[in-house]
Amino acid sequence: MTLYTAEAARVAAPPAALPVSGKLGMWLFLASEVILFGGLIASYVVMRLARPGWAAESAHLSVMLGAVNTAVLLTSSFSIVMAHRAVDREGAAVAARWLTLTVLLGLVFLCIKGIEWRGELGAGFAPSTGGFWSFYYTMTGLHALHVTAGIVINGILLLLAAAGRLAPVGRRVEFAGLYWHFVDIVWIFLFPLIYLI
Amino acid sequence: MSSTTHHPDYTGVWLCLMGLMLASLAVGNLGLSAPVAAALIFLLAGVKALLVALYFMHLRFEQIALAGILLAPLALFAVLLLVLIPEFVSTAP
Amino acid sequence: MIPRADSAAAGVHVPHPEPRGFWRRYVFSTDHKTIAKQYLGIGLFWAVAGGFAAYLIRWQLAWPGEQVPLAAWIPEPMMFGGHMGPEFYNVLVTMHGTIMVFFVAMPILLGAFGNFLLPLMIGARDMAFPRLNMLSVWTLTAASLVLLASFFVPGGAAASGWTAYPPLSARPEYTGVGWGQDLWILAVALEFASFLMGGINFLVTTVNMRARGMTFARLPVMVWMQSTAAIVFMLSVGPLIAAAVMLLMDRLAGTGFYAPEAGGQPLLWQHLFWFFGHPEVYVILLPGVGIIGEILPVFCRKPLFGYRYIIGATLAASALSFFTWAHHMFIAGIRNLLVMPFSVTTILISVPFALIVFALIATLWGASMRFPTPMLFALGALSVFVMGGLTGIFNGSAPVDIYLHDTHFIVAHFHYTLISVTFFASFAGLYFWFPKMFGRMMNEPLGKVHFWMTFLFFNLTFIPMHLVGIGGMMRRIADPTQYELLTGLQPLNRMITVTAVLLLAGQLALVVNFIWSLLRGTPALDDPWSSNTLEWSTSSPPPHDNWGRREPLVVRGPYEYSQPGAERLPQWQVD
Repeated sequence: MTLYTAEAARVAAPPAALPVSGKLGMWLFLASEVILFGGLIASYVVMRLARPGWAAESAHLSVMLGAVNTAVLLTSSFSIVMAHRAVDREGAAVAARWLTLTVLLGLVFLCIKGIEWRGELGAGFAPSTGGFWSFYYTMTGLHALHVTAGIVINGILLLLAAAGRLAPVGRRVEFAGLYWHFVDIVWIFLFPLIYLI
Repeated sequence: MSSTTHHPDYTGVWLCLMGLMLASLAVGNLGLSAPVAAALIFLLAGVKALLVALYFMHLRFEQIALAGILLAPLALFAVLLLVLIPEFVSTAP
Repeated sequence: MIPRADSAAAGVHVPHPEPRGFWRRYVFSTDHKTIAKQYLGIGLFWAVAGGFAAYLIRWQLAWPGEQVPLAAWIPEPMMFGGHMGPEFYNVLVTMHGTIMVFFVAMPILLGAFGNFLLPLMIGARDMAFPRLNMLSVWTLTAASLVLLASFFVPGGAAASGWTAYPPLSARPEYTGVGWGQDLWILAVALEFASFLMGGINFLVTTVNMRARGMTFARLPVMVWMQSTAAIVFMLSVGPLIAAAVMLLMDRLAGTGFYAPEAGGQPLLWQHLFWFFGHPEVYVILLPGVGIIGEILPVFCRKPLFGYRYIIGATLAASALSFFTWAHHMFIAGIRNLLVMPFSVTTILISVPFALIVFALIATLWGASMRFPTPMLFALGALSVFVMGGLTGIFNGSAPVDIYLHDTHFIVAHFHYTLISVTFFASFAGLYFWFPKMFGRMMNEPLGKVHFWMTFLFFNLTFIPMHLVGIGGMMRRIADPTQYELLTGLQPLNRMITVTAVLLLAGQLALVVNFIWSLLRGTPALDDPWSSNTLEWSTSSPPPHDNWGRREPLVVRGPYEYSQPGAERLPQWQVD
């Protein structure tokens, strides 16, 4: 059995000049996600411009619930970056608390989204009702899938932190945070695009 | 494990974000024309996004190149709009 | 579970014991070299399937409705005792395209060559994220299984073309295909996920895992090409994923994104598809150019001409490739004012590619050339690509394309450009790096037979196809003889089929050579070709950790051949 020595695993290029691999990898992934949502959102914007009647459809949405969800996500971005700070400073126990808040807020977001959908579907607005609704359900649905994935990732980190096993992978709270902030930023634009205009 | 990450005042940023969100809700009551109101709302959204990106995502303290990674897809988003709008949005009735 | 040291730090490879046991070594391996071979296996499997589809297509075109030899085993309702109807013809053209682009070209050029060579060429012990690498090849395996399954569901496999334009792809009643189209979407989506993961791995590895002394300016051109291809793929695939989600919603949730009767826009799909589709062909092309760029200097014993210009032109062409997509849609009904700009960008992109071609040709100038099989295939790839690029200029001119679009002229064009890399460059790479991958040399005379059969019959097949296209034969029709205007082209069509069959048969030389060499080939030296790049400094095949006790130290660029005082100077510090 060959075990490499530490000498053999010597760092190559000067580390200070290069971003940590996990961080670089996450940013590259986010770039691909930007153009994914970009494609969907560009399609929506263009179709919306082409169909002035859609503004009347969006009036059926609950701006209040959308706004609450926006506040929920913004606060969850705050809580996950606080968890990141806790990994550096106060330690895994505090990080676990902030991660718990993040996961809970994520679940609240999904619940509110579910409540909205139920209401809209009940009122007879299905994905097949019209172009606006096709985009509404698809965009918020794709976003909700991303939120769900984020909740799972954050949940795993939370479990590791709670079990005292976060230390070897503590940096990953930062990377998970990057993904979570991205999901938040997408909603920052989806909210006005769908609800406010 | 500690890193050399600079941690700015996250709470302050969060308060700004909440404020901007309330502001964008209030725009509808300002009596502006629809296009101007929309522009203002998206401006506010842009500021919120920048705050999250610069402070929560630490772009303010990272190498410029990392932010450059995001510029390419944003530019392509603009290209898509630039082509799709003439394609699908006609000024004729 | 033992916590691992965080491998997220820049450049640090986490030491781990060499895996033992069949499953850990060959099935669930995180070793980039093994993963590369898994990608190669997947690609070669699908190459056989895609080639067989091509055979069926060509036979049908030459002798419409007649029994196709060797096809009697295909069950109903796909074929009927060796006869096919137009529905299955549509499945075949759909699957041939899908398979070749997504399940042959990308797995072999990026998955196999990229994974195998990238860490070795930069002096790393593995990719930055080995477990992600394993996940990527398993995701492609899942994609393959889904695509295979699509043949056996009610309604059969997708039949709306590899481009899946709605409404044909959105409404089951138009093709008779049901779940097959949904599974097609899922398979392609999984393939995208696989290569997104791979692309991230390639880029982070190139940035962070280079050995000491390996500056960006000393990277082999292959590394530049793989990294650029990764960037292009990652930036272009998003809108198609969005479009695919919308297509799935149209099919499953009754939405009206593409349905005209619901206020939708079929052209939206086309724009989003080709926004990805055009950069995608350069994703496929670039690794092939990289292979040519690595092989020519070795067998010319000359530096690669214009290394920096080749890289600059590659970056420029890659950026420009994002602005050319609507040349696939000139007659689709797009807004007139969009036509000329896209025509201009399309013709403009020939400039950087011409530069690259000239630089490669200049590498040959005044060289003392040897012609083993890898060199023959590399030269073949170059010449075939030039032909394809020339016809591309015709197609880019919108007025000309009005006539040529959706004819077999286009088919001939893209087979020239695609086969230049998927066949010729891939084969060049295979013969060249087989010794490094498997520790044995391939048979040289059989390799030459393979080359000449491929080169001869490829050209004999596809040159006439240009004429058939100009003669008016459209794409994707199962029976040319149904149109009186095309009946005069049947002799040409039959000839093309004959040479196509011979082309496919010629590939047997590779199959025999590959298997025989694996089992009985001459054991290979570390550096059988006397080549300068880092992978040749280690054993053939390399050990699990690539370099043994010490990583290489890089002291110069990759193409120092025939320098004053030295026949060649390898990249690594020889002590």
